Amino acid sequence: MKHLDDSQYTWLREPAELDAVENCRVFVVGQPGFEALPGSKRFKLELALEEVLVNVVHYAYKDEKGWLELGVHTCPDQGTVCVRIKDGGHPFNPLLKEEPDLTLDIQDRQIGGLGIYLVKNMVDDLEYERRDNMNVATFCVTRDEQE
Amino acid sequence: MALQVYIEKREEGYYALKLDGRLDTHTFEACEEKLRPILNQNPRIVLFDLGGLSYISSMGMRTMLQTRKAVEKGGGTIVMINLQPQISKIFEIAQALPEVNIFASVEEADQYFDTMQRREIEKQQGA
Repeated sequence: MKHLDDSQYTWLREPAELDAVENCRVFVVGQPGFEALPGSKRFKLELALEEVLVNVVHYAYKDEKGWLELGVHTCPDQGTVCVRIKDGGHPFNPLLKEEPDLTLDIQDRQIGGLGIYLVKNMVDDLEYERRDNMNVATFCVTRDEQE
Repeated sequence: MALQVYIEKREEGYYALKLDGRLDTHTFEACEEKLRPILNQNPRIVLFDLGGLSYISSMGMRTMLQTRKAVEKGGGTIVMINLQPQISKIFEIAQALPEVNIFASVEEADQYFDTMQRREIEKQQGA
């Protein structure tokens, strides 16, 4: 995925606000190639998309107005859809985020912190890099052979 | 994309809630608003019919876990029925599936609670 250049993605730029989450979802589900994924994979892609975007909206910027860019790359032959999300906020590597302790009884658990944990469990790969003062997160979902 | 919440009071302290649509970043607050008056009454049973729930994200899970915490803290029980496989998977990953209270239908849940109640009465009578 990292080998895919930004130019191989189709881009949408949005302000880093909650409204962007729905705009980005509409953008992704409208891409040719999305419909070719089986329902379970579409679900996973939508979930990962929402979780990563919500993280950017809530945590990437402090008081300043921020932006985010969403790139989609589809490869219908392989049944793959890749999503890349960039922001110009503070460095944040979702891969280093502490995982919630799910062994605790519900009553003793911290509610929250599930988002990135779900993403890691949903997508085939989740990659992060910091480049040119941007956070760049990339993940893909691929149709299984039998699907 | 929206979420519809249908609330039915089946008995005193027993509420059935049907969630249709998407429980996510955009809808979880409205859902929590609707749940609040029920939680304030310390319900005995809250049954979630999730047959029409097509999507849930971590924000939605937060609502479900908070509700479960509140209900169980008050001595009540959460029941879930009709979970779609994808929704069930999310609960599984979050290790948040109730151990026993998952039923295929409202009837099955009702039957379970009737039996439990009968046993409780028999136990009290026997004591």
